[in-house]
Amino acid sequence: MLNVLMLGVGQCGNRILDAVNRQAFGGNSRLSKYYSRQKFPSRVETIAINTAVNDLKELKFTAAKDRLHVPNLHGVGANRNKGKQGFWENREMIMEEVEKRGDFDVAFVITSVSGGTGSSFSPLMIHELKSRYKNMTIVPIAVLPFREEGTIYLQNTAFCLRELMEVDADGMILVDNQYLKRCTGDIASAYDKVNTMVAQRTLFLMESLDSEMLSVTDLGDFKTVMNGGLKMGTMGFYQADRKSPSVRSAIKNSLKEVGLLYPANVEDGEAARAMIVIQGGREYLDVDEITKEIESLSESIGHVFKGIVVKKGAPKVLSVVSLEKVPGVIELYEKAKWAIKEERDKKDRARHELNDAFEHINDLEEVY
Amino acid sequence: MRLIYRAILTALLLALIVQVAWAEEGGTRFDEFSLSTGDRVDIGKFRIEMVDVQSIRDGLVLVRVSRSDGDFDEQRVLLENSANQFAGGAGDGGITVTVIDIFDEESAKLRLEYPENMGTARKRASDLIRPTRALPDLTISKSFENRNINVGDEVKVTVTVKNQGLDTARNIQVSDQPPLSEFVYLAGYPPKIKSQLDPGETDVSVYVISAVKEGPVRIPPIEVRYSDSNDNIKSNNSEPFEVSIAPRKRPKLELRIETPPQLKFGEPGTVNITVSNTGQVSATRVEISSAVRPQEGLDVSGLERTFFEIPAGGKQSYSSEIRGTRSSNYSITLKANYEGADSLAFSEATGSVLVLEREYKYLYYILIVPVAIIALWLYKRYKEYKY
Repeated sequence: MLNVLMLGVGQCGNRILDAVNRQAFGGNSRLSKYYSRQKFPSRVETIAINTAVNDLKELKFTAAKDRLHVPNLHGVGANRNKGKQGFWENREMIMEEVEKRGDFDVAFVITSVSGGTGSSFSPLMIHELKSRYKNMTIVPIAVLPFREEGTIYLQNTAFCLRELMEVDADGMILVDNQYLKRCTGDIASAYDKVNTMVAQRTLFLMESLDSEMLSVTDLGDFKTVMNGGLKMGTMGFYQADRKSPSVRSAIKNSLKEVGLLYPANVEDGEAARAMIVIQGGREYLDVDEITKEIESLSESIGHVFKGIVVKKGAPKVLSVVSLEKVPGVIELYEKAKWAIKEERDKKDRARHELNDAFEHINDLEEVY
Repeated sequence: MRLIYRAILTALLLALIVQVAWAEEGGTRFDEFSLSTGDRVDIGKFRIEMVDVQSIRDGLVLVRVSRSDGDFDEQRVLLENSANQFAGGAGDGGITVTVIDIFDEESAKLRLEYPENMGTARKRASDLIRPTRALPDLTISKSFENRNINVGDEVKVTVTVKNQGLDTARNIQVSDQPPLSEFVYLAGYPPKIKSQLDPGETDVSVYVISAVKEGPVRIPPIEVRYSDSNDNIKSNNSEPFEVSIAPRKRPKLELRIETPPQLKFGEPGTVNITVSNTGQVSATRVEISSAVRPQEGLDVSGLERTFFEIPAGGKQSYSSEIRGTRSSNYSITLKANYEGADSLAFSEATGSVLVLEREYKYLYYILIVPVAIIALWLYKRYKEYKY
C-alpha cells in the first residue's frame, strides 16, 4: 500500500485538498462527513497549510487536526517574500507536522502558483521534503491563475513556476484555471468545479497506482512519465456512458483538450510521455482494443504506460501526460514580464510624483 | 167492620173533645227551673225549695215543698227523672216535681207541674249567703318525655295528678286504659297514684314504654276518678295528643375505598379506606372483609379490619398497601358486617386498580442508545472537523 501525503498549501491548495477529502467521503453531500468514512485507496494523510486562519476555517471536509495555521501571520497579501520569510520562521513546526504522520512514498503538493502563501511556501516546502525524505516522489499540482486576476498574480506565477522547476520535483502537474473556466463556462462555480475535477483525478491516480490491476502501472511508471519532457504534465479524464462504452474512444477523449487540466495538443507532438489508466467492467475492457489504441498513441507520443483496472461500470480513463511544449506557460511568462514591468513603472511613477511633491517643501521649515 | 171503625173514631173524637174541655176548665202547666241550693220557686201558696244535692252519682236531690198557710210542709229526696207528687200532685191541686238534671253538688234543674189556675211560678234566689263548699278538684295530665320517637326508643311517660280543690280527694283511681298496641309497656304500668290527695297535693307516676311500631299514634286521655267527702264521685281527663313514631334508629356504615387508578408493575400503591357511620346509632362489631378479583396477581395486605364500635357520625380511616405482580384490571371489594339496633347489616364498596404491564426500561435504551451513539458520533465528527 502506498503512503501518500497530500499537502494543500494556500487558499487554492486548501480548497482542492478539501475537495479531495470530500470525494473521499464518497459524495458531494455536505453532511457526508457525519455519516460516512473517507475511503482512500491508499494510506493518505492530508494537511492543509495556510497563513490565513479564515481560509482554514472555510474548509468543511478536512479534519481540524489536519489544518495547520502558520502562526503570527494573517495571510501574506500575495507577497511571496513575506511568505518565504514566514515559512522559514515556521519551517520546523511545519515539518514536524509532516514528520509525525510517518513516512511517505509520494507527496502531492497542491498549490496555486499565483497566490501569496501557496506560491511562496510550496517551492520551499518541496525543497524541505526533498532534503528530509530522499526516496519520496514529490509532485506539485500547480494551479495557474485566471489571466485577468492581476499583475501581482502573474508575477507570482512566473517566479513560483520557475522555483518549482528549480527545486527538482518529480515533475509537475499543471492545472490551468483560465482554460478550465472556458470549458465549464460558469464563472461563479468555476472554482468549485476545478477543485472537484482535480480531486477526482488525483484520487483516480492514487487508486491506479495502488490497485491490483490487469495491466500494471505503478509509482515508478508515474515517476517516469512525470520526469519526461519539460517535467511538466497534466491529467486528462473521460468517462464513457453505457450507450457508447467504446474504450478506444474513451482513451482518445481523455487526451483531448477538453478532457485535460491544462490545454495541450497531445497528438500533435506536445506530449513527451503518457500513462493511460483504464478502469471499467470486464465486459467493456477489450485488451486488444486497448493495446491497439495505446500502440497508436505511442506512435505520436513516444512511450505510453497502460494500466487496466477491472471494476464495475462503464469505462473511465485517466491519462497522465508529460509535455514537451507548454505554449500557454510561455505566453504566461510574456504577460508576467509585462506585468512586472508595469508594476515597476507604476511604482517609479508614483515615487517620482511623490518626490516632486516633496520638493515643494524642500526649503521650508515647520512654523508654529 | 165499618161500624166498628166508626165507633172507634167517634170514641176518640169524644175523648178529645172532653180533654180539651177539661183543660179549658182546670188544666196544668209546667216550667223548668235551674236552682241552686237554697233557691225556691213560689207558685200560688206553694213554695218549692232545693235544699241540697245529695248525690250526683245516684241522682238524689233534697227538695222541700211547703204551703204558705202551713197546711203542707214536706221535705223529700227526689230521684233524678222520677216525678214526685206533692199535695196530691198537679192533677189534684198539688205540685209535681221532677229532677231532670243535676249540674253539680249545688245546682240542679227541676221541672215543676202545677195547676194552671195557681198562677205564675216565680223563682226566688236564696237570700242566704251560702258558704262555699269545700270540694276536691283533681287535674290529671299525661306527658311523654319525647315526642320524637323512633321505633325501639324507650319513652318515659309521666302521669301527674294534682288536687286543685279545697277538699281531700278520696278513692282516687287512675284509668290509663287500654295499653296501646304501638308500645311495649316496660315498667311502672299501670300508673299508680295515691288513693287520697289533700288540697294542693300532687302525685306523679312514671312508667316506661318502648315504641314498637312506626306511624302516628293518638295518645288517648287518661282519666282520674275520685270522690269527695260526700262520696260524690267525680272524674277528670287529660287532653289527648298525638305522637309520631319514626322508623327504628339504625346505624348506616358507608365504605369508601380510594385506589390508585394505575399501578406500575411491581411497585407498591396505597389504598385508603374510610368507614363512616351516617346512621343514628352506633354500629358495633364492625368487621371489614375484602375480596380481590382476579384473585391472583395483586398482593394486598391490611385491608381487613375490625372495630368494636363506630358511633353515629363517627368514622374510621386506615390505609393498606397493594402491589401488582401481574398485569390486569383488579377490583377490590370491601364488605363491612356490623350490628346495630338489634340487627345485623352490611355495606359494600368496590374500587378498581389497573396494574400496568411490566415496564421493560431497557426498551427505552433501544431508542436512546442509538440516538445517543448517533449524537455522540455527530458531535465527535463536528468537533473533528470544527476548526
